[in-house]
Amino acid sequence: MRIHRALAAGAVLGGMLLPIPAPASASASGGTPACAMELVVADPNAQQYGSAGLGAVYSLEATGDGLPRVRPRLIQARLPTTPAGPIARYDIDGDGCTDFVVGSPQMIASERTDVPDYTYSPGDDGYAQIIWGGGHEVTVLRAPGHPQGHFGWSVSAWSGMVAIGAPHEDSPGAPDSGAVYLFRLSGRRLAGTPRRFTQDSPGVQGNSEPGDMFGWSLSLGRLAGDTRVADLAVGAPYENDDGSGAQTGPGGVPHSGAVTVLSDVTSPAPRGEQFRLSSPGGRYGYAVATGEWRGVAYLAAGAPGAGQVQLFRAPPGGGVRPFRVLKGDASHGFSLGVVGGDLVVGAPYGGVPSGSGLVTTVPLEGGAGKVIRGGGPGDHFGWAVTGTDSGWLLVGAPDRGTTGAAALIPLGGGEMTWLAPGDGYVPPPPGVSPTRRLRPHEAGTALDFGASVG
Amino acid sequence: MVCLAAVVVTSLVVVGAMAVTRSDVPRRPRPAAAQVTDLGRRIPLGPDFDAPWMIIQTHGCGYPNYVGGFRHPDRQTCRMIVLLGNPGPATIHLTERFPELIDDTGGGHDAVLQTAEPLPTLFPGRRVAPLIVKYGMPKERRPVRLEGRLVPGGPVVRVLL
Repeated sequence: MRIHRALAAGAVLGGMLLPIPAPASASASGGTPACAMELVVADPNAQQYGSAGLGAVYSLEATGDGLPRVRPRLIQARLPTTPAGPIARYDIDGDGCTDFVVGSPQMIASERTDVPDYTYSPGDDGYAQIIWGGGHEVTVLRAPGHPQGHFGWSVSAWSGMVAIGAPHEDSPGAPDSGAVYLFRLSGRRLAGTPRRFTQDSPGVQGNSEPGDMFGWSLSLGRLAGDTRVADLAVGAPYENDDGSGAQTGPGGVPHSGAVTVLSDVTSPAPRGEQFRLSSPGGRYGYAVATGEWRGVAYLAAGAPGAGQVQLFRAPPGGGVRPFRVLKGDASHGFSLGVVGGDLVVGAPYGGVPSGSGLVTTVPLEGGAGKVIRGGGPGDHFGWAVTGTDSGWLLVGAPDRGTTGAAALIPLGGGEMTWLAPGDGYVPPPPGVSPTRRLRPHEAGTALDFGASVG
Repeated sequence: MVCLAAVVVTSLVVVGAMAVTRSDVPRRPRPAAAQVTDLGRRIPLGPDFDAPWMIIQTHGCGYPNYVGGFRHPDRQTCRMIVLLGNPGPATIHLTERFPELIDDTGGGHDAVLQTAEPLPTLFPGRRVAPLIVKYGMPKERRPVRLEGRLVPGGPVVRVLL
């Protein structure tokens, strides 16, 4: 197995090709941090420096003219970025800059955190990185003592905390039952060891059963219980609806899925409540998203196998209650986002022709939704969705063209602005040499731009 | 003729990219170029949205071809960089052979893995990046598509190069 030296690659990245001038500790202490980064787009399968599958993550910095005018740049993370799901975006340390959490579930990094001599290789352990806003500081997170769980498959962030899913982690007698980790931070420093939750943890409803994949998706939000304390919604889309007690074989409603809400997740004894939207192969919990609008918290959970999304409403002190079920095209609910007062639902395998993809925006408080079609045949428009407080959507179409693409779309309607590596605007990933002509295996190659956004 | 047009389009895109990335001034980007290849696209190996997938990253020909330990003067090696992933819950055993390469005369060429090992098993959540596949063919031939079955009982995949 090839072992790459990240430090060497990083030196080349930083020194030659990435025009981001800020020093690593620019925002850590003193002075006003430069907080220009607004949105991020990842290409988890990009080739850089002749190494396939290292991934790439780009910042879309809004210019003075505002969106959709952005300045796209490659971000230099410490380790390769190969997210399998959404990138989390939150001001975790409260310094006024947006921070990002990116998972790399199909990579392995060395255990040595004391020296900047990280090595990495393809593998199934996974890691996640917090890319701190206003500079280039990066914190690497791992699952202590639990290999091959694809740690980093899902990520979410909140003030002073980060949640990471490892859906292929095993429990005794239950392979791929899944787990979730909650890391606490003090400023930018990790505070203690992470807390691990499985479906066997006290207070969590259900049981760890083979193949449940608890932690496939997750979202931190303010949903229930003490409104000053974060709650955590966790999807387990491959759980069977097979009644109470631990089941080890097939039975019940296969892969109907489940969503668990852990209220007051940082308290000594979080309370878990499990929800279902039973449908064979529905994969309820494939995506989850939380958000607030006019003082009311909302949770959305997708069941793309059934083309459904369940929306929950959580008024202050009222708990999480099912509110509406929204039905749509094939794969409706594959990706989700809460943007201002709207729920944004991606259906990348829907549309006409099939697989062109579409996105639906639905007012959280009710009313007619709006369908956005932007993809050509097989583009998978809607694979990933996010948005900004200023009313813009960012929608990924990772199979558009040879590189993948992402579109900035005004939420109120209007023209789409497409972005793609090599379009003359977004830089392609770097190859092994910036000067000489490269053979295909040496060139930087974008493949999946838009597969993950945040 | 179609091939020539594709080359011209690709060249224009590359030249355009080199010219504009030097500028830091944001502009409205152009729409993506028309699809002329399946390179870079996710090729589903099953019917569902969480089916295993394959992406052909790049292909390149003109590499030396060795027969019986000697470099063959009239043959070339074409090299594919392939990524595979299995987001679904089931373990996927691949076929014994990677799809064959069809050239511009319709001739087929068998695949050889660079590692000379069997195709990997795709356990749930696993990604293989990269798998390097090689094909030997006459120097004057040009690869057109990959064709074959990669999952027993799965669809026949046709990947335009």
